[in-house]
Amino acid sequence: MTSQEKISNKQFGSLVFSFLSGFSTLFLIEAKLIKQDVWMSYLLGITVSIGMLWLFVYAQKQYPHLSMAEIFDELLGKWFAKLALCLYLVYMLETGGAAYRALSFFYTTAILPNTPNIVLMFLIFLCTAYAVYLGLGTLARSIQVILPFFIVAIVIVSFFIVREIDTNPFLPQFQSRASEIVFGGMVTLAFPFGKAIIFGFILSRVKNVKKIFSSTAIPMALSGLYLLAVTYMVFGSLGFNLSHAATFPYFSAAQLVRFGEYMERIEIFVISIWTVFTLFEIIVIQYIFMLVAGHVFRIKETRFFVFPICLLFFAIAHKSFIRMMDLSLYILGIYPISSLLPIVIIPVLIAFLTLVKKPRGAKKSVKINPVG
Amino acid sequence: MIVGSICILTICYGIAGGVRLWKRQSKYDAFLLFLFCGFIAGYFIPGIGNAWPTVENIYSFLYERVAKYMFENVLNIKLEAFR
Repeated sequence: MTSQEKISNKQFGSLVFSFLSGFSTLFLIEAKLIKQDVWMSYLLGITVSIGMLWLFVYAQKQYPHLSMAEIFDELLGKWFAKLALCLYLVYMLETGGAAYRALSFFYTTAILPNTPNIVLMFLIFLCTAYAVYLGLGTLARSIQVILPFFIVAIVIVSFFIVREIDTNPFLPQFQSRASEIVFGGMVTLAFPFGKAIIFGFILSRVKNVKKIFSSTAIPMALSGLYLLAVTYMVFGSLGFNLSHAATFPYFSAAQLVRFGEYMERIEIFVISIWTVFTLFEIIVIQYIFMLVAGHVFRIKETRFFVFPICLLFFAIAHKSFIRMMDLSLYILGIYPISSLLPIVIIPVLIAFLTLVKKPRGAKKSVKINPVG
Repeated sequence: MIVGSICILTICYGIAGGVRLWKRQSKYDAFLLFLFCGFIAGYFIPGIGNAWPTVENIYSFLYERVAKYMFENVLNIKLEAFR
């Protein structure tokens, strides 16, 4: 495992896109609530999450030689930084546990109904623990190989579903109250777009610091576009009532597709997209958790902690969200509020302190290495 | 059976990894690894595991009232999650 391996901006962008596009299209909870006006909630969620990540990018640019965890130390002081980083650790456990459960619920509901959840989660644990052990570079390279295949799969699925749509499902517009749009925006901010805030902790591992923002914002916008397209196709092919009743609306929409006598079961593309992207999401969360935990607890030999850290995610997932309804209600009721602290409040605080304080760390680094 | 096996595996890993780190003079890391594996093993011990903290439990306890107030009183949205 190479702990300080740098990744290119394109690799970073691919990682962000796959991370956000994982199980975001699995439940479409906010779409079921807001219906045709959900695009406004998506827009709100994407705009705020890009803005919050920009704040981290701003702080990173001021301290280019420090990692985000070290920037926290520099700005907040040792103990407050540890507290803030611990909040991120808990946030990652929350998000990772939900991702574990979402994937295993999908498999036990739609594909493998007789397989116990714990078996599927154990397989996820084994797969993701090995990937985390291999490191960020391997992860970034593998997503570059896999992503084109999935873009083709998404295009094929979309092509077949769009043929089923007769009228624009997003009409008539502006049927929801402003408070409902705001609520939808909060849900969308928490899940999926706000999750990208944890990428702040690997900004220092990207080669070109100057282009970090564009390599983050573009994939986030594309991921939003993908979510919007999926919502459009689901509403267009299933209608509002059936979409609301379906547990996995996108999967149900893909099941409708048939091409002549020969091509059916196109939903297999959707299954593969969800599986691989959600696995990538869990891997990234666990990897960043390991980096942050290593900094907080001053661990020298992080390699030894890969297995127990991934096991902690598995244990948390095993004991949380026992029923699928628990997960849906948590994402709707608690998650939009609990995630405000790591997604909005702490980034704003960090950016404010960066603005107020002089970047001493950067100056120090320049003195040490005047050639650079 | 799976749960029991994972519990034993975790404890074994904690001891083996801890001893290896101790021999490398990383005594703090060894202690931390042993403690961490012991904590995780607790999740898989029947009876005790259910009392172990999860983010869902803690955050539901901490944020439920705030969320209920925010959504029902400020945004005027009735959610099934709070019934």
